[in-house]
Amino acid sequence: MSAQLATTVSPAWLVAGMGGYALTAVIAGAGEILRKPAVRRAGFWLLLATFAFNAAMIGLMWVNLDRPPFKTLYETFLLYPFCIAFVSLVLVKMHRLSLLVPFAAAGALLCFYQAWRKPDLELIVLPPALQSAWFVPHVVTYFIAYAGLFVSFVLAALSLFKARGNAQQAEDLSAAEAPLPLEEAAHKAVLFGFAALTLGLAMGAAWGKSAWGDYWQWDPKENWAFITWLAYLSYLHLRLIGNWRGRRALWINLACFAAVLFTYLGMNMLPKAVSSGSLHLYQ
Amino acid sequence: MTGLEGIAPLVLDPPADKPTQPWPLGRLFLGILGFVAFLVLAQHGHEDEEWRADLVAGMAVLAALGAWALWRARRTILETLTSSRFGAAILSAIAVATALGTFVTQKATDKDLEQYYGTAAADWIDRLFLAETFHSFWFSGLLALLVLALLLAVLRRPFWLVGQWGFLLGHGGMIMVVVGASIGSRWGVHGMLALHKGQQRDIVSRSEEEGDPQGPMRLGFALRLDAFEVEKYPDELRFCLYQTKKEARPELLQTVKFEQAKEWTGLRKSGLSFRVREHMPPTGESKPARHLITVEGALPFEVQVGQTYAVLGTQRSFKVVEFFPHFIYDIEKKRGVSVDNEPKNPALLVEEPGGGKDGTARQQWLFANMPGHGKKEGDLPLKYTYPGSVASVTIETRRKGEAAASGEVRLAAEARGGVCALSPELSLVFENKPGEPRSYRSKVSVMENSQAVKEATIAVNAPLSYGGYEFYQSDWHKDDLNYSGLKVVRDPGLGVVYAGMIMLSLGVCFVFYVHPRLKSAARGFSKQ
Repeated sequence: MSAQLATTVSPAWLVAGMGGYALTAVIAGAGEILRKPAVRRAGFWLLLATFAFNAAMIGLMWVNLDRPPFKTLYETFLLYPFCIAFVSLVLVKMHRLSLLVPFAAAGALLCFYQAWRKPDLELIVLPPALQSAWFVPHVVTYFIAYAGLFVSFVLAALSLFKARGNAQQAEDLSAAEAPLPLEEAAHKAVLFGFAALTLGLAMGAAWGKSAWGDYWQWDPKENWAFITWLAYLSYLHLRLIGNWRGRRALWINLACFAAVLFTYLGMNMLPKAVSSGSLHLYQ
Repeated sequence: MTGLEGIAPLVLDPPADKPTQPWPLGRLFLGILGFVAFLVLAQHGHEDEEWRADLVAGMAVLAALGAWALWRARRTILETLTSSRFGAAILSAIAVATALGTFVTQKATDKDLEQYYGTAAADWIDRLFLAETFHSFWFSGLLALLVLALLLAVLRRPFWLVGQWGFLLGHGGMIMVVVGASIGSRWGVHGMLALHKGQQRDIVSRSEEEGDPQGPMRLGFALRLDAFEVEKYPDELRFCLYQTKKEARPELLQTVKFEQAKEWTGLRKSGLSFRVREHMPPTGESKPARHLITVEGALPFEVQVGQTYAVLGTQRSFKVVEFFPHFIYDIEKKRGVSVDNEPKNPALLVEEPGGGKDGTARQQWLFANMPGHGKKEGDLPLKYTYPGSVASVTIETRRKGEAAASGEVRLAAEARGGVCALSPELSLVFENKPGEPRSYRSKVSVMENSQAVKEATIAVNAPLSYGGYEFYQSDWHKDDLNYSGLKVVRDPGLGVVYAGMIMLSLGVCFVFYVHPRLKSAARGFSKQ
């Protein structure tokens, strides 16, 4: 890694962040496998410490760049783990879901690795449209939503994994575990993520109106944000139908997260997105 | 299910005491597809203004099937439309339709579609109106169906009960967003006001491109452009390290700011460090010994008059014949000459041996101030940079781990201006990256009866509201800074859309977080 990052954060910080999340994943994972409360607690505190370090990195970048560091893909690879860690810490504290810690740390580690692998090679300035009071709340709300939906994805996958081979449990996951069944926890995370998606969508519309005169432009990223929102709304409706709870709902939850990932990372694959010069495209 | 169990439902399911048989999801989906097909045929008839027999027959069959389906479902139609199943089916259908619209290039011409997707696929895209998905009958039909379902669901709810407020806010909000958008689309104005400095106009151009194909419209007052300002970020002097692999475009590996390069700085993959030894501002010299040439898609290199150079990746070569600091074309002499030694219009004459007809040499002019001027088919893809107008630096390099400098290179700065080959693959370029726009501002006066009644500054994120219209900074030309393009919008549905969004957001939060707590509180109260 090179000196060009001195204007944002040093590569050493990225390596330290990766180390923090990796250590958290290992310690918290060991705590879950060994079922040792003390090791679990250590995993939690490690996640908290790495989260604080991640926050400091974002703060430093903000100062160095003299703008919110949420513009480029590299910058969002530092924001997303921050949000994942934040949402996971809250959920662990609220619902004693310590099982979440190693997976949240692993997800955050993956983001940090991507940031380390492909750092910004030059300073990116904010174009006029992004110099808006809506920029920070809109982006942060969306990444909080994505973090909630990532957590939901993890919990849904764990729930399916735990129920594998047990037909009865698979059909009635919500009644199988205590204190908060994984399927129920996954659903609660969807509710949180969906509420944040809704707020993010509304804020984006208000911002679009003030910048371009249109609250909706059928921009590919807007469309995929809408598709993601519709996908989770379909999930919420399907889950109200008796026989769509449990395993089916969990699989739909997993599928919905594919829409989140595509919205976040897939826009360059779309024909209009490549040629439109959309501000939603990451540089 | 009553809506008060567990996490509150968003859609009313049939009451348990009135068993009904709403259609299963698969059949609902098929029904929606049939509805879409009907609308596609209807749009063909509408656009072609020709109701062919096969079209009418197709519509009749689909209408008959639809009528039959409605008849069969007459007892449960209300329950079906207001059920979670239907909600999920229609939401999924809209999601799939929206996704289709993102995979197909929107508003592309038939020719473009054929080029992108091939003739057969382009034909289907045209038949299904997929290149205008979001403005097609069938997409609007899906939204209308959604609004109908939402409306029925809302009307069936007892709105006076606090427990229903979240549901009503959320569903009512969605209805208002769609209805408000439709109002804006039907009765709103979307146009452009193109102004040059000092010019005033009161006619807004409207076109399909701007989402409003109704033609020019008079505002009732005029807008005069008093000034247009572009504020830019500062230029950035920097070094860029590129890696060139076979046949590929150079890949940027590293950038180093000029200030940072005053100290020894490592260069990736090279085993070298470098630092700036001397910085020279632009010399303005009229007859520099070296000139900079860039072959399209590659890095620049230095050339001298009288020398011949090969064009990498081709069998072609060129000789630099002559340099003209202030080029003009002398009509009498019928050839290019230099008026004087002031570098006002620097030009290079290059010659490709054997590049002309019958194997003669082919001559080509390269103009520093007008890249591409006079370019003819078959010319070499060369760009000329005049080095006397730019800053230059002398850098020294050393092997990593060594104390003493082992090399020294002079580099000129221009966009891709000076280059130093560190190895066959690695090149260090000294360049002046022009600052990007930080803001655009139009200073305008609102004119009524030839009098300025209001002065305002319009910028991105800071529109002007006047006379029921809003004016947004939308367009500018870097080559004509006296021009400003303003988007003109009047949206009578905006308030409804905003109210809908607020209701939707509040409704979601109420259903997910307030309602369950109210229920818990109510349960605790009843136990006491």
